[in-house]
Amino acid sequence: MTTKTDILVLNELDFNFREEIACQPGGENIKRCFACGTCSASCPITEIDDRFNPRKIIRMALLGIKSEVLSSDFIWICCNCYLCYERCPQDVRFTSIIHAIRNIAIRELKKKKNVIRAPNFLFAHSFLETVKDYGRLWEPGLSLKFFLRKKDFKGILAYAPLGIKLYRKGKVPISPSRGGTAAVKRIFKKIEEREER
Amino acid sequence: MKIGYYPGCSLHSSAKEYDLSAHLISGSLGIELQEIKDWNCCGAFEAASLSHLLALALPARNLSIAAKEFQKVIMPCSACLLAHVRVKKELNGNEKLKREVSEIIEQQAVVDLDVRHLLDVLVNEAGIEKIKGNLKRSLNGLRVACYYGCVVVRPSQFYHFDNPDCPQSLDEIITALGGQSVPFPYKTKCCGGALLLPNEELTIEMTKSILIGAKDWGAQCIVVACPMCHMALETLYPKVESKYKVNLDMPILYFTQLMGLAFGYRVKELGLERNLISPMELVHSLQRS
Ligand code: SF4
Ligand code: SF4
Repeated sequence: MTTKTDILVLNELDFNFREEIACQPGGENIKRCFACGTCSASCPITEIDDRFNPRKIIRMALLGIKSEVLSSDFIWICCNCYLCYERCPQDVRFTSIIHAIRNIAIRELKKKKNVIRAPNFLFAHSFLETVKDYGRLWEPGLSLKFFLRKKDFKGILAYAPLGIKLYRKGKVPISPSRGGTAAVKRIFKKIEEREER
Repeated sequence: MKIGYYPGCSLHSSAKEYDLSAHLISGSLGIELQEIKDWNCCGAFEAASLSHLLALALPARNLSIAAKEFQKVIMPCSACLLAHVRVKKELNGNEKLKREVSEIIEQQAVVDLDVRHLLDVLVNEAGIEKIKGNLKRSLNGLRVACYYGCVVVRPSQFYHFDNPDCPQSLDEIITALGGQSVPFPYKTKCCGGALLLPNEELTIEMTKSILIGAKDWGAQCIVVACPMCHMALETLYPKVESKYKVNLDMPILYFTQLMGLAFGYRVKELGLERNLISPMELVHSLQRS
């Protein structure tokens, strides 16, 4: 039996999506994919949760299933291990394609045309905010920012014992290490201006 | 020989023991690591997700600073290494992009700086013979699982010093120091370190195959060459033990820490008391033997 999710509604597809990805740095080679599945067979995430599937994401993108791809948590779950990138016989560069798709998802989010709930997105955001503040990463600040942004107060409590253990081992600096702070702030500002254009 | 050194954020905080041991080992092998000035975070894996330009600009600034003083810069962290070699690869030959990045970082972007992983330099520049020459206390047949992790050898399109599917550098070091590197099919399988905080469940599954795999293949310890791998394997270790009801008994050392023991350095000098999974039993058995 066909279920609703198996049906593609033609006028809901965005055939420009593939071009949009191909124009984004890193997405150039998307159309070279011949669906061999080497990426999915190599992916350590697919091995654990086969709802994440690089080949499928590429197919969906090529078919123009734009909003589903852009709002999916799965585009945020790739852990950047570059195994698919290394092995793809067509040099599609899936890891870079995922970056390109994430960049588009964020652009659409800023235009209020997309929603992103994936924790990995919140994490990346918190990470870079910390870097913007100090020029370098400050791990305790990042962890706290992340849990607060996720409104995950239980998470903070669950994380506390490990935090204390790390602190005792001298692995949690009380104050942030700084480097290139002013220069990094200017880098962020210039890029934000460019991306708003 | 003085070489530029980019420690990256972790080596100044959670992975201080890697920093300590990296300096000692390099010193023994005649390489003086000099930290580059006023470096900034490279954006690790995260910058590329949010903004392509940011993922270029952050590492590009470090490369430009380093190039003022050095021809070569060493990175002990695989994620930092990836971020920097990716910029070199992308800017090389793309004058327009290079100009844009130069404008953003307010200095000339450079692509010809030699960027290398610490492991690469120790094995291929200092060399195995020199490593052997520094041996003071043999590893005495210690069975070691050499875990490389993902982006130290991948993608070979960016940077290539060892076989991306079955690298040998760590194994060569361990063998040279009198240890045994066990056959280990998970050598380059990703630990999921980047997902540690946002997606712990998934990371537990990913570290599980490495930790339990090492035990199944008869290892007595694991060596790593990346602070993210170390953090993921150590912090999830108790969770893997309780979820899979195993007793791992498998300390995880930076390869430089194990080299340090063989070179005769003391526990404190190598920061071995900072490891979450205590390697002390292993250290004592090496000292007894
Ligand atoms: S490995 Fe490459 S060509 Fe094969 S399905 Fe994946 S992206 Fe397409
Ligand atoms: S880079 Fe991402 S998609 Fe590719 S194999 Fe690794 S986790 Fe899977």
